[in-house]
Amino acid sequence: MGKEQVITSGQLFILLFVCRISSVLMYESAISIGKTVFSMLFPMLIFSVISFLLILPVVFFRRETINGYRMPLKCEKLLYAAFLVYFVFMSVFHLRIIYGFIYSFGGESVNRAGLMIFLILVVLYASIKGLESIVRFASLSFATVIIAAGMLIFFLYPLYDVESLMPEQSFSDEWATVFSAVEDFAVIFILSLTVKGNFVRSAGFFIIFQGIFFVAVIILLGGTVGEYLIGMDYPFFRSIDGSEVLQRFEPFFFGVAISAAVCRAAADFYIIHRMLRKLFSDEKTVRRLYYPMILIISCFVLFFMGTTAEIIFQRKFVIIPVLVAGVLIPFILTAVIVVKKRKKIFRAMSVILCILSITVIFSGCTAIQLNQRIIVQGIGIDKSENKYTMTYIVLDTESHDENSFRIIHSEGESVETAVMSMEQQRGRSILLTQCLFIMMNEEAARDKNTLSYFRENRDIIKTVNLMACENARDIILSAVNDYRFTAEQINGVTDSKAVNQSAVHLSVFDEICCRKNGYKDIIMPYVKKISETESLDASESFLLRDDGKKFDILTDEETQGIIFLNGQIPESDDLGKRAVKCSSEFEIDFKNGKMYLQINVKVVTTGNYSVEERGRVRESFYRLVNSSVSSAVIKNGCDVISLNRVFRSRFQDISVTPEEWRNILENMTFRCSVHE
Amino acid sequence: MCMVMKLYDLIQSVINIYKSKSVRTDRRKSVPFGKSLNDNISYVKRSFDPCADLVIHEMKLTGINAAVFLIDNMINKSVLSLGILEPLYKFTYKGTPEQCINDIRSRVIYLDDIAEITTFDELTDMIMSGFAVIAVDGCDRMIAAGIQGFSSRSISEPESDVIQRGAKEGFVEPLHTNLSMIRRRMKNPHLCSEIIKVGTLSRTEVCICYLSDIASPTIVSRLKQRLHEVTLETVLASGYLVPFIEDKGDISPFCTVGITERPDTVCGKLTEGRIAVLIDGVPDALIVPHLFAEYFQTLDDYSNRPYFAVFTRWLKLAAFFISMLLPGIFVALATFDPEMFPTLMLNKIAGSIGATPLSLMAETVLIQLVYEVMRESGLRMPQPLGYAVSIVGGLVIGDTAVNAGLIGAPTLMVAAAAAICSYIIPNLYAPAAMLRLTFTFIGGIFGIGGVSLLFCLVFINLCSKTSFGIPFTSPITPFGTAAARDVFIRAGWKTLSDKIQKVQNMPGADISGG
Repeated sequence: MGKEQVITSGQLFILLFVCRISSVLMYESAISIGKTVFSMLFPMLIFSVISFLLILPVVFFRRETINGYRMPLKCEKLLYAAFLVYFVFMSVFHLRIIYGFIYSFGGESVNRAGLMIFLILVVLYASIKGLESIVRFASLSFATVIIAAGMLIFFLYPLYDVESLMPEQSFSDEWATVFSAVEDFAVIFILSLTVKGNFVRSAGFFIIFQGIFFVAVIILLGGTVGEYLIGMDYPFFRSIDGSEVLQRFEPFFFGVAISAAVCRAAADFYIIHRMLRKLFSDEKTVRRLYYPMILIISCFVLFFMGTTAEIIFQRKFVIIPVLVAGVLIPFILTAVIVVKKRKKIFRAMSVILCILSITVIFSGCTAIQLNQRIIVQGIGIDKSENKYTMTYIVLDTESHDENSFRIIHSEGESVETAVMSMEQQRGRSILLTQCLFIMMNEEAARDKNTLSYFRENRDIIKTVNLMACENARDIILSAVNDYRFTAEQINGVTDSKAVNQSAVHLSVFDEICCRKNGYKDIIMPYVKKISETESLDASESFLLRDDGKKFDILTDEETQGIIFLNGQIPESDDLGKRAVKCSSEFEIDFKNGKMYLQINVKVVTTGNYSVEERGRVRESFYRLVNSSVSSAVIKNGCDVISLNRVFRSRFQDISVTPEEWRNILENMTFRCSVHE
Repeated sequence: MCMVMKLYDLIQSVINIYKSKSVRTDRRKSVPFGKSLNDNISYVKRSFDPCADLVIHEMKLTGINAAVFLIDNMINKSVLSLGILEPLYKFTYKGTPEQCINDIRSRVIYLDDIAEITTFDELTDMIMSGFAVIAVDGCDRMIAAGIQGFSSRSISEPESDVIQRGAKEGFVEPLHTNLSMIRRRMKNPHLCSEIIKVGTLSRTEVCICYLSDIASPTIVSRLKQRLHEVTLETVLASGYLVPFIEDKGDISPFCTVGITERPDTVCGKLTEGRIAVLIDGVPDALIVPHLFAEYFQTLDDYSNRPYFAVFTRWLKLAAFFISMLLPGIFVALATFDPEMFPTLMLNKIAGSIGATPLSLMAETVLIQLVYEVMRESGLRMPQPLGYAVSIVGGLVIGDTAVNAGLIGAPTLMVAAAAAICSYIIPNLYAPAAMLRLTFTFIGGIFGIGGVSLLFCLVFINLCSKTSFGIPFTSPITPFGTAAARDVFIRAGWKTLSDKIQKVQNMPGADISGG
């Protein structure tokens, strides 16, 4: 880093944008609650105004310094010292966030400490190469961020529903986002003198582009996966859980986040070096201070974030001597020897000790080979009297037949213990990434804790289908052994194009959203065996109230009604083939604590239908809607047709708790009218 | 303690091998000729002793002694007889030896390539280059006449730079033949060619060619300075000069000097302000400055329609990344992130891992190393035996090893796909091969996070490199719209010919001129 490097102002702001993306992706912020759409977007507007105000002193400082004005010497050094301390703390903070991200998403069998050390080395290398290399790399990273954003839009947009963009959700920490963005302006202040070009214009474009980008992201995610992200850490990164395709590309998004993180950390390290150069004119002194400083920062981050501290504080004495001998002592000795002694022998010893200590750090967690894993395609869970019986359809990797599989079982007091017992019995680790469905018996489905293992497990794709049945083991064994069904075929009973409009769907993702919403209730397909035809049927559905107090099995007609009221044309002899367009509209009135619901169904038939036939069609719809609403909504107090959303959009100033809402539903007066 | 000291000394001695040694001074000094012919002949005999192919033809011309110095088999004997000896014998010399030499130069010899030399150093260079040097008693100047007749390879199609539509001529060993091929295609008086001698022992002629009205004088002078600072003893291949020509920087798998065997490619590069370096005895030309994007450009891109050129360019870019990343990503995903694979493929991969004795990473590394051994064998073996190597490789390694359960079929497919993709850009084969192995190691240890970090490291290294002051990754980053019209796409010729982008005007360049 010899001569002063010059970059364009556009490059500087691309670097800052990528750094901001890194912070957003790795920010452990949960979703907080705002009241209106305006309150959701207000912080972004304030951010833009504050940004413009902060840019002004930078412009003046730049102009004055370029024109030859210099601050009094002591003040200048003091300012650089202050920035040095600030950026040392910021680098520790950012590295801590990055390590936390790697810890959460890096994979359990990956040596995460080693990965973090590798990252620090890459960042150190980048900072040594200079600002130009960092900003050029940031431009490439920016391109990958745009590709990732494009994928996000492409795959999440089909899920977009404007009505989901409810005013009671917000996905940033509002004011925290504003204040954390201010740190970028410290970077601008320091690097402003290295840029050429139209600084003000580039700054303006940066602020506007960033504001629009994040508002667009908020609107996209709010309308698609917003509910899912409530209370979840790393909300922006987890938004990919909304799409099966995006989830399978999680490694790519992880790579994008890592490259943005490298830019962030490299910028911090570079500024530290730059401040040292401003404070000490001698290059040797700067080098002697810089590298030990980075080493101390890295050790600080790794020690307190890594498993070393955890193990030490948990007093696992067996591990401590190994770690101390392998890691701490060599590092301390190396530092002492290199600094104090100049003799060849001690330099040689220090090199060998460093190699040994690096070997200890890089050894550790070993990868689990694929043949040491049980690849699960389907899971059945039966609960009876506090005992869980799990049935797994697993791929038989040792067989030479294509796609051959077998059934295995395990038991336990919870799902987690059942899974662990299966792993211990088989001597292999479970792999849930290929799981297509989870089938539960009624008792298991009613228990909220059944799915807690799958909700928190990053392995499982969140779009895995959920099903209910009488006895999962019995159905799976019959389907596989007697009917020769594969796991895909069992899954296809509820989730295929052929059955798209004749069965309800519920995925783990939907279940989590329902639980977080509090006002929505759960409806999942109810699977039954049909021995006569040696097949499975999922035309009925299992209804479960969120509080667990009521549950019911809806008939196929009632299920069809629910499907229709959720926006799809049901398939049946009378309806699906004849009616081309049909839609439903809800009108809600709320007086004296009682809700009045009017559902207007509009039907448009094609072809030459007689009056009688048209009448029959109308009657079918009437029956469908009546039976489903009466059975699901009024009888059981379950909101499975998004009535709450309509209610809140109509009566924004009326606030009801989930329990009150269910009472309202049970006491609701309902009318249906069908017309052409 | 003693063992540690010995280990340290061993490491130091290995390091010292690669440190630059002090420059060996040329043994031959620039000694001027004497006036006595006998003294000059004795000096030459002593300098070349023993030299079986040195011929000193002593003659008695009209009243004056003369001698012709030459190296046998480097000259054209019929030209020697008809163009030098016969005229020398026939002419009648009057006047002083000085006048005699002037007469020989201007009136006697029927040749165009004539030079006057004054030192033994020049005499050595000339006769080693196929000149005949004529000396006259009493004069301290000699005449060198070019009568080269050494045998050389005829012009043929280049082996590595193969294109579909274009000339089938490639460079050959003689420098002047190569220069003539460029001259034939670039009939421009601004085409400059300057010869510099490089190599303290070999004194190899190196010619730099550039268009003086387009190339940047700063780049030209930098290049000349670097060539003058070359401390080699011999220059036997183009790769010898590359480390001296490149910008100073750290270790990188990528080279910032381009190499080509085609004169038409050289001409195209010259029009963009680049400089070609031709080396006598080497059928390659070095091109500077050289940017990363140029690896993906060939002459065929400019002959084909733009849509197809764009397609092939992106194909090459994809192939390069596949050849570099595919095995590493495969190992990383199969080990740590198997959710990206479809179930059927995952079943097969898991089955193949279970059926083979090695871990996936070890298997992938082993296959790559075996492939590199086979490739190297195929290159070095005589051609008839080379076919046998291909059969052994294909059948034994490909089929038998899989059937025997030593390696898995999916791993073999991945390694083969990566290898095939690496052939699409021969100049990037070396970095792709080494990085492929490294990515495989890192992917097996750290998963996709490690692959991403190593990818970042490689690209930071790329971004930090310059080629004569021009960022190596320009115009990708720093991005330039005008320059990028010939990188991500291939704009039509009407657009490209409107304003040819000079290399010194690339975004981020810190030089000017031209």
